[in-house]
Amino acid sequence: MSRDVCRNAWQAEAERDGRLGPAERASFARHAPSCADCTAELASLAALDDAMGALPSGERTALEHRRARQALLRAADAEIAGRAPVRRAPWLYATAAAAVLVLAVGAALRLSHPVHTEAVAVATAQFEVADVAAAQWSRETTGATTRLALRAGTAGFHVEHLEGAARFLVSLPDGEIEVRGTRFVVAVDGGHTRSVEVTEGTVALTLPGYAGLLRAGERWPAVAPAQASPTPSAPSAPPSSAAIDPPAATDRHVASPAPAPSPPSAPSVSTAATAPATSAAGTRFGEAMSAYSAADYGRADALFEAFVRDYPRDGRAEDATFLRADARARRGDAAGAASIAKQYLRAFPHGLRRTEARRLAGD
Amino acid sequence: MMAAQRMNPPAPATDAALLARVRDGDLGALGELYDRHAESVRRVLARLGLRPGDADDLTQATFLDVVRAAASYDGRDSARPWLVGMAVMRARRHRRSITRWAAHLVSVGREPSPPAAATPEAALDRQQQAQRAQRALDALAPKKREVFVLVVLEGLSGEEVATTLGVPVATVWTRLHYARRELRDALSRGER
Ligand SMILES: [Zn+2]
Repeated sequence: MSRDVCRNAWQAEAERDGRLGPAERASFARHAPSCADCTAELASLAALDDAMGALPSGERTALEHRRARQALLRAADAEIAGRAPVRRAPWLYATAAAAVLVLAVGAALRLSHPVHTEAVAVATAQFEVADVAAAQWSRETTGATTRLALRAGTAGFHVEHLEGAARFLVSLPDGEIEVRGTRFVVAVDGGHTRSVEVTEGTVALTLPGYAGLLRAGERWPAVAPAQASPTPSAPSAPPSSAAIDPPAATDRHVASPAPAPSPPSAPSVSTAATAPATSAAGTRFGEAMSAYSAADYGRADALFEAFVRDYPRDGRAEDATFLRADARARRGDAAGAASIAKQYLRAFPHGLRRTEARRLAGD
Repeated sequence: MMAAQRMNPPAPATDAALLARVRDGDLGALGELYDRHAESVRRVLARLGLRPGDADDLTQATFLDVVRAAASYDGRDSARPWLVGMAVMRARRHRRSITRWAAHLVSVGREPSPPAAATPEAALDRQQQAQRAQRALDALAPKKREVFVLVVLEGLSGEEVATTLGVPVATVWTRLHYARRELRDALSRGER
């Protein structure tokens, strides 16, 4: 600093943040134009806002939003109802093909002490493998299943939440790990798994003499030898009161061998999530949603109706039916809304929109 | 009883009204809140440094928190600051978990490899600007970053941010001041 800057310069920032009192504001407004420091400071602040304004907003498409919303409502429904959540649903962000992001190599991990990471993106799972110590691993993808074989060494894994039917497994020389979305570190040596440590999420670990879940903060083998080894699966479908995140639910979510992807005849599991974004059904639903979002309710009603007619088994048929009723209501057609809401309640008696539908149905 | 309120006109309800319905188990109200605020919550998460998949995850988690916390909502018309606050808390927890993971990776120990070489950027100007801004933001310490994101990028008031973060307003302004200073430094370094 060769000279002192104007002592009022701090007011530029305060002014920008709206924290000057009226008198101070007025006085600063008089002062600033004739003061080089304050003018420069104001310009610099404006330039900063401009520069930071270049950040992408990263909004999802309407369809992505929609699917995430559907997944949220299913998870919330399970939680509100206090029944064992259908844990497949919550993580169906299901951006399908659109979700195939290419993760930047190395940029993914910001470690003060960087280790080499390899980021891999496939249609079914996004994950990173950090080679911590001489990790030897290979990858194999079959359909929606991604399998990494860790033969030796120590590797850190970060698996992002998986879409619908996607599975992610780590094969160990003597066992297996299945996850849905988590961070963990595995060490293999001499053909044996030496340790598994979970820092986020939950993994299902199967080894000779051990089968159970490890949650964030847990490791196998437990440091204390006397561990209460969780039984592999005793998910006794508890009609428990709404416990937040009941363990049994997590058990089911992670440990269940995720039976084959839902058949198309099972609309209760969102098939929407597994349908590729570019499918005809997806396009059609998207068109209807666009009309709905644009408040073109007449057109939305017609498009949703056609969608339900043509794709009655699609997971979005439920939403489409409800939105028809809603569109009618928004156009002021209460009778039409009530009639479609009743259709909805007949077709989806446990539907996520049943509360609203009952209201629209007028009962 | 909320259930008796049957013929709601399609006029927009306040967030507070929607939250009252969420508290009573109305998923439609949760969906509506989601439509209003999910993209904004997700954007905040992304700007706090979460990668897209994690931002998706935490957006869902935040809205599930809404179900649990609806009963304690303070009744302000717009729930955005409250939602953003919950997202910030989620992001903090997530960061701690990553930090532990990273620390563990390192503690297992081995010679660090050199960081991956920077890719040559021959990209569009706009893209470069975005990257520059992103790098500058990424370099901020978490607390400064939170304040900058919430006040400047998201337009929350100092008071709202103070409430959200549980700090005095003066602290918000101080952090913001240092955040700006660091960002300006980082951006001007990037120019050279
Ligand atoms: Zn001045």
